Parts: sequence; structure tokens; C-alpha cells
Amino acid sequence: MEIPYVVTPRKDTGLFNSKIAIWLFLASEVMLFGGLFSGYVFLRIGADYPWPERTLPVLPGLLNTFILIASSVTVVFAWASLKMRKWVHFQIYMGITVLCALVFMVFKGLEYNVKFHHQAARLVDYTMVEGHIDYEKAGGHGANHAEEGTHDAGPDYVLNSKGKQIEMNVQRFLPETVTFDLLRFHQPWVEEMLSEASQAGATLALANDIDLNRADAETKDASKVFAAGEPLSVDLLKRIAAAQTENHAFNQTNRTEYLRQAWDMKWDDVKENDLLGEAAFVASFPAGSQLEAKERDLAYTRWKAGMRANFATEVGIDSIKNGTGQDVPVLIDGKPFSAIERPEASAASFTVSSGGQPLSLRFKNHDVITDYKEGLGAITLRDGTALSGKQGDSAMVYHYVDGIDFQHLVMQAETKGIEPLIAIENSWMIKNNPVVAQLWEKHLKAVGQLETALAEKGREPTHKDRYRMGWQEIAYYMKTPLDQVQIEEGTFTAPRVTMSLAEHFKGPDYHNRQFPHLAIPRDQVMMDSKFTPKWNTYYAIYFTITGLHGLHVIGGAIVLGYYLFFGRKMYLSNPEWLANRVEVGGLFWHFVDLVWIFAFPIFYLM
Amino acid sequence: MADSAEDIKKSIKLYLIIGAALFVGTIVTVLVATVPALDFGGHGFDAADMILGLLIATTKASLVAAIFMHLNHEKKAVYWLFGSGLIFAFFLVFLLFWAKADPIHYDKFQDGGQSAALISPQDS
Repeated sequence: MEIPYVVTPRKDTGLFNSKIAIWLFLASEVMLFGGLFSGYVFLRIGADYPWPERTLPVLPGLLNTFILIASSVTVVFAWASLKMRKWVHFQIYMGITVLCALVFMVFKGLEYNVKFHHQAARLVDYTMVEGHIDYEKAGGHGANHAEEGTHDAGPDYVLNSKGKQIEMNVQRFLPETVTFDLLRFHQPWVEEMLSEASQAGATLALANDIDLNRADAETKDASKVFAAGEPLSVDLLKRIAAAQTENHAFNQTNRTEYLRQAWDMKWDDVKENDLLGEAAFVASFPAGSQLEAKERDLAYTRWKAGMRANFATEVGIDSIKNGTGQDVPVLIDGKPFSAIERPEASAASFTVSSGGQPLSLRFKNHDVITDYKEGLGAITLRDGTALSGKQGDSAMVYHYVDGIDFQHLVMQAETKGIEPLIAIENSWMIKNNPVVAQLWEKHLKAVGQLETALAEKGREPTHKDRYRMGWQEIAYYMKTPLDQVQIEEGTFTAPRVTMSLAEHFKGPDYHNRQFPHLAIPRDQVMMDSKFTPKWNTYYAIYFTITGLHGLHVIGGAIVLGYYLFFGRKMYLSNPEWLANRVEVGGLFWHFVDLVWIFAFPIFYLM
Repeated sequence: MADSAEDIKKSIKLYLIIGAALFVGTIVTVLVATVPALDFGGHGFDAADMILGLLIATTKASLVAAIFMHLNHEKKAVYWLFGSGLIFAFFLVFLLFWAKADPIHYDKFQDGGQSAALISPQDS
């Protein structure tokens, strides 16, 4: 069957099929991205933290803008070439377009990669610290002794069970007992724990016998009892969990059965002894009552329902109340039920016995939901695993600090009526880190100079100028003595080192620049994250919009690439049809460019 | 619509000019955001920079839509289709401003529930 209007336009609309389709699709896309951009506005005006202004490196974004514009021109040229029946020209222009898409995605990938490896932390006083976390070294926490500005990756790093270097952003815990939630334990964590224990020569053994507490009069099933001392393994946890689940079902069935029996026993009692006091109630109606028969029936029904409700509460598994209101145990096979049915275990505890030095386990911060507190002596993991013991050395060690930001701290201080500079001077960061205190002193001097320079123009420094030291400033302060700190004329920014070309794409050159080294105690860290959607709503919406845009670039490149590599046959048989297809693909491609035209200034320049 | 080969030949030059205009527009956007001498409004990013930046972006987007996407001489059906999408997108943005103009007042957050406690059962 021939599909109409694939090449020639319909008379009433003047359009061929795919053109109607693409414009419908683009209309929906406008609404999608329009909604996302309005989400951006909403997040920005509602942010309860200083919005990161102009925080992304401009050059990669700028180049990507150029690339997309260039590809928009070439895609329209490719279409024009087809219309003029120049196949080779079409191939060249379409080839450039697809190549542009690839280069765009490479730049995007570089940009994302830097974010995914860049660590940030918000301290309890709202100071933000940014930088790179060190890796743990074998034979002690080598990071603390590493020379500043050096990066000697060698074989002496501690590796985890997957062979990856262990980052110094973990909580260490020296457990005495570990209690697993049998239904929720996360298998990879148990495996990691076992691997760390075996490296340290420690063992974890079941702390107590686990019997199944079966609610029947029969003796327990011996094969399903787990003896104390059995070594921890995933299989053991699974077997205990399976046995407990099966046992739970068994007990529930029995519990229902026993409740029925209890009812029967009670009911017999009620009938024999008139425990509801029915006779007495009926007798209580005064002779020759004024109550109509209907009303009397109603009163009687209500009374009976009330009595039954009371009676129901008296039927339990453990006991029933006898006629005089005393508890009488429910007997099953001659035994009281409570002697058989006992609470079922939903957890299994293991005792840690260390080989030599105490076992020190590592946990990612976001996996620990109940943090360590002195009095408590325990932590809880996200999967319900509870560990009791002591906290180990858990400082968050920054090998390179490349950003210190007091903007949020100042925001908090201002709501409390505290002078910003006093708040900063009393922050943990300035009080406890002489290196940072020196940087801050230099920064204050630079801001003073900036203030003077701007005052001549009737302007003043922004919050960001005053309270944030970015990597370029820090690198400058690290190499410049206090008396030589001097802002550059005409720049109206704090003094900073000049970015090299590579640094625009890959971030600071840690090998050749100096950055402070910092160990932040765990109790000072409120929240930490890489620069991912988790860090704040800015990065959440940045990744959402640019990520979705990136997917559009990939999708568009696939479609345009298909015309380029598989279009020859159609070109020979029906070139106009191919031209129509390319036009439609091109319309999509222009739309992708159009979104980026807004995304670039909004995310990179505002 | 520039459908015949001759029309297209004429359009090629226009496409190049528009491409160049987009490049220039991009450079201008970056310059006004980064060069102190071109920093309008107060020092650093502010409303003036935002308006200027979005104005340039809108101009660039209009050029792409009008020339590259041929919206300057399209069929009526396309304007209806795409126009309704645009209207709904604007509607989404305006929803936001309505929400902003009509905030929810929930006094409990501000006075620790004192005003909520004032609402006694008799009042309701």
C-alpha cells in the first residue's frame, strides 16, 4: 500500500506527513523544556542558599555553542544540497553535522566528569569546602603526611574488594558487635565487610543461638537451629532469614488457630454462665415500660453490641477473663500458649573477634543513617545493620582544597543579626586552620582593594567577591605573600591566577599549582557530596536540563547519521523523499540548537 | 517556501549571514557577562545582566526559528501546531508567577503553632 503525502504536500494543510508530525513533536518539546526552564526559575527564586552564579567554566560552554550553531548551518546546507541534487555536498555537510554532535558530547562528557570527581562539603557552620579527596595509603593514613601539591599514585594505596583505591571520605568504625536486619541487609555491604575482615584477620561469629520459637507443642526442628559461633556469611544470613520467614508464617497460622480456640472456650463460658448478663438486662426493663417495642429492641441491640465489643477485648492468646474478671491462661495441648509462642527474631547479631589490631570497617557517609555519638557508641546503616563499638579515625581529608565559600555562613549569620566578618572569623575553618586563616587575611586585603577600585565607579563588590575564594584565588594566595597581594587594574575581581587552556576543561592543574591540604573532623561535616544533583538544586536542574539536551543531541545525531550512511538508496530512487526526511531531521536539530541558545547563558553566565 | 533549486541557491547566502549573526550574538553574550567595562547595572550579575542576556538569547532563538526552521514563511497549520505549544509553555511559566503572587500562609511555621492552637473546636 502506498502511503499518501510522504513526498507531495496535502492540499488543505500544504504539508507532507512527516512535517506535521515533527511540528507536533516540537510543540510538545517546547512544553517539556519550557516546564523545565520554569522549574529552574522556581528553584532559583526559592533557593534557601546562595545560588551558584557563574560557577561553570565558560569556555567549554562557549565552544559547544559555536559547535551547535555551526552544525545548524551545515544541516541546512545538507538539506539544500539534496534539493539541488548534489549528493557529495550533502555527504560533506551532513558528515560535519554529525561530527559536531560528537564533539559537543565529548566536551559535555569532560565537563560532567570534572563535576563527578569534585568533592564538596557543607560544614555544620555552613562553610562550604570544595576540592579533591585523598586516597588512603597502606601502612597508615598516608594522606596526612603527603606533601602538598604532589600526587604520587603508587601501588601503596589501600584497595577495596573491587580493586579500587579507597577514598578518604569514609567513616571508620571499630565494631564489637554487628547486628543485621535479616529482611533488609544489603548483600554487597556484607561481602565488603567480610572482605575487610579477612584482610584484617578478624572474624565475625554468630553471637547467640538462634532458635526458631515455633508456636506449637512439637519439639523444634533441629535442622533449623543456628548455633552461636557460626561464622558470618551471606549464605548464613540468607538461611536464617529463610527459616525465620517460614517460621513466621507457621506461627501466624497457629496464632489464628489458637485465637479461634480461645473464642470457642470463652463462648461456651458465656452461654453456660450468661456472662453478658442478658437475663439481668432484660429484667431491668421496668414493668409496663413506656418504651415502645421497637425502641426497646433497638436499645437491646445496642447494649448487646457494646457487650460484645467489651467481650472481644477479653479474648487474647495468652489468657481470657473468666466470669469473675480474673485472667485464666489459654491452654493448648495442656500448655499455656505464652510458653510456646515467643517473639521471633528478625535480626542476627555477630561478635567481632579481631586478629591483633581491632577491625576497622569503612562506610560511605550517606550509607550511615544514625551517626556516631559518644554516649550511644553505635551507628546504623541504611539497610538496618546496627554496629556497636567505637568510631575510628574518620576525618574527611582533602588533598587539595580548591574552594572555600562563606556565602551560606554569612546568609545564616545575617538572619541572626551577626556581623558577617565576625561570623567568618569564628568559623571552625578560620579558627582551626592556620593556612586557611592566612588565605582569608590575603582575601580580606584583596577585597579591600576591590572595594576602593569599585567605589570610584559608585559600585561595590558582590557577596561572591567578598565571601568566596575560588580555585584561582586560592592558587594566587598560596603563592603570593600578604604584602604582595594586589588586584589587577581594570579586572574588578579578587586577584587570581590565569587559567590555562587545559584548566578550562579539566579543572585546576593540581600538579603544578599549590592548594591547601585539610583534614575535617567528621563531626564538623553536615553534608557532603560530589558536584552531582545531590549537592544542591542548582546542580539538580543543571544536570536535568543539560542531560536531557545531551540525549537530544545523541538522538538527533543518530537520525542524521542514518540519513548520511543509509540514505544513498533512497536518494537514487526518490531524492525528494530523502530531502523531506532531512528537512524534518534538520528541524529537530535546529530545535536542539534553540534549547542550547537559552541553556548556555542561563547556566554558564547567570 | 524556498522549495525550488533556484530559491534555495538564493537562500544559502542568507543562511550564512544568520549563522554569522548567531556567532556574533554568542560572543556578545559572553562579553557582557565577563568584561567589566560591559557590565551593565551594578557590579557582578544582576537583573540588568539577566535581561540583556535573555534578550540576546531570544533574538538568536528567533533567528534560528524564523530562518533555519523557515517559520518566516510557513503554512498556517504549522503556526497553529507550534503556536499552541508555545502558549502552553508560557502558561507553565505564568503558573509560577501566580503561585508567587498567591503564597500559602501557614502560620504554624512561624510561631511554633501558637496561632493554630487558637483555633478551638468551637471555631470550626
